Amino acid sequence: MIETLAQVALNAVVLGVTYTLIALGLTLIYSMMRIINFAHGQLFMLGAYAFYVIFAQIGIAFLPALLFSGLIVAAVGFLLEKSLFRRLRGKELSSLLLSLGIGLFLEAGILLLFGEKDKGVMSPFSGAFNVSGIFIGKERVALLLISLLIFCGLFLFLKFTRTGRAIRAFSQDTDAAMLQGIDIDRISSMGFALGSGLAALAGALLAPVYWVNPFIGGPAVVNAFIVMVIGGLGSIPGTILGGLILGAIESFGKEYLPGSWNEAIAYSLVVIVLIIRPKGLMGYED
Amino acid sequence: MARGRNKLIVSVLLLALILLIQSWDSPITRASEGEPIKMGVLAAFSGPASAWGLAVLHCIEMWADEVNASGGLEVNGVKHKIELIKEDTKFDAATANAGAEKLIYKDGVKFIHGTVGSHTTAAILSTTTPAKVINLHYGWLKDLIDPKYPYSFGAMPTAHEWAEPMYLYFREAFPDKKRVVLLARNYSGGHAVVKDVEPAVKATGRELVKTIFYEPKTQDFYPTVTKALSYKPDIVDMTIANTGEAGALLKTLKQLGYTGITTQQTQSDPATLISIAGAAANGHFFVGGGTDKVVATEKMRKYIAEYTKRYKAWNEASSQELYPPVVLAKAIQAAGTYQDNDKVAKALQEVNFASDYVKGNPKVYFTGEKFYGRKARLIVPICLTRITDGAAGTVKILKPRD
Repeated sequence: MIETLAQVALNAVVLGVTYTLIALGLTLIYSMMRIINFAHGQLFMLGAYAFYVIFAQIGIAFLPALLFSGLIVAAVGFLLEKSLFRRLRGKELSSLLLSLGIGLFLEAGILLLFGEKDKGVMSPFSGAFNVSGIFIGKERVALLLISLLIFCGLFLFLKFTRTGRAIRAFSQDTDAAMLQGIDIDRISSMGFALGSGLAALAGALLAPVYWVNPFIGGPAVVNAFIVMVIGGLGSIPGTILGGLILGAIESFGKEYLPGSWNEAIAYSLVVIVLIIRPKGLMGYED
Repeated sequence: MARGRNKLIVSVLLLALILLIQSWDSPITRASEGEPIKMGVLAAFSGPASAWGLAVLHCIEMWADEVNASGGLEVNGVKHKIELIKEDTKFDAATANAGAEKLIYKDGVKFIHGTVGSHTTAAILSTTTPAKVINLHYGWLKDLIDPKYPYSFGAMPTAHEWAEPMYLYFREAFPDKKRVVLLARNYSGGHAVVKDVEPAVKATGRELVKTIFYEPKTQDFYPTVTKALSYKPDIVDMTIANTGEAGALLKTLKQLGYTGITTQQTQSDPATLISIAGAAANGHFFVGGGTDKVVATEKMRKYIAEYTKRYKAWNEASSQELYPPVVLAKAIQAAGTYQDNDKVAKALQEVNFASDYVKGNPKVYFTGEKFYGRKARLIVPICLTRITDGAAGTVKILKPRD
């Protein structure tokens, strides 16, 4: 009984961290540019494929492969912002439609390039820890540790670097940021690249844990949206909170509620938050 | 006078020569060429079910090319080239029905291969049935081949046919493994397969301790597997899991300390399964099409090699999907028509031949009079396959339940 409860709680934390990891880039891009990036799931998928090629096919070591995957997709994000999204700045609906189109394009492109079959990426961390009947795969421990490093790194980058502060200023008040001499074009590109890179890191980290195919981005982005809405649109602490809440609902709901009530609870919570606090639990007003 | 006679003889000989040359390309020496037979391929070529839909397409393309290279499909002494018209359903019901309408009313097809998935097949039946279009589909639901849809045929066997023989094998091989937990995707196909497997588990004296449904978008199976293991199962049946899901489930089961039997009611690509689950794939059972070294014939090996050369990678689903075009061709030939689908539908139910792709030559035929009300479920070789030491091997060719 206690063992099961502890296992369920541990599952909730791992799931929460995973959801946060996927949603971080989405939140960052929304907070800066007010773009609901529907291509976020496909950037996540692109990261998983980049990692599959670099790590599983070419054979580069785990951590450098992770880094390269993030950088490659960050470059894709940089180019997307510079060539497409910048032209639609301030037009939220057009940007949303553009992101949908990019998502479909990326999905179809990867399907053509890599084929329809699922792909597996063998984790370098095989096996599991067993602590008094509570199990956790070693790959999940690695996922947790690297995710925490990413969260801390992002926090420090946004808090203490010049570019990070500029991104925060841009996300809080675009006009004031421009008056302070911040190069909006450069910061937009940097922010979009960072958000895309974060999506790719999530995809790359989860590739050995799940599996890879051109359509893994869809389910991932749905959870990311739930996390963002619950936690707070554009708020990074809110995203972490939202991720942990969704992880807890899924893990405890699956164990202790019949059928798929966990899903119903998650979506009900989204509706309640949207009605009572449309900006999410920790989101801020424009 | 003599010169005139000579001229006549020369003219007659010339005429005979011309007739001889003409007859070289006439029905006397070979079947004449008729109009092409149009066949629709209506399946998911994009989207999450594309692995399944593209396998259907590739098998039909390979078959059509082979038939066309031999001059065409011979019906009543006339050879007809096969013309394929492809429509992508995107695994969406409305798109599937629009595709069926286009194939039937614009392109004029009388035969449709596909769709894949029960919901898309259900969507097109109201279009294909009144138009009397033969539809060889990959839907699992029993209703899809009900007698009220006389032109609808299930192009592959389902858990209804193989679950009981599979559990009979488990009873013989592992008599002390009794507690069974079923895991199924929460959608129409998942519920349909559970309806087939639950009675099979009970009929073979196993104990069904729990059926757990997971949402179709699930990627992290820790919560689902934690719940499953709380019931202390001896056998975990992943029912309708696709290869990716099965790989992730196997890995999760192993990480959470499970050491019992695992199986699934669908095909899996063993190489992909092993690349996802690693050593956790060892011992896993699934329904194979006879492509492993134990039962594959030389013809199957050649087919796989040609398929791989053409489409870059072998798709394991094709091991069962290679049969339906052959079956339909045999029915058209037996019926002696490709225009009267009442005759072709009747002929389909009488098709019966031995597979030369699998050792032991298991039969290929339609079954289901008792359960479905008509012979409308195609039986192809059903090979219970197990992964051992990183390689798949057939442990038994199952005798399907009627």
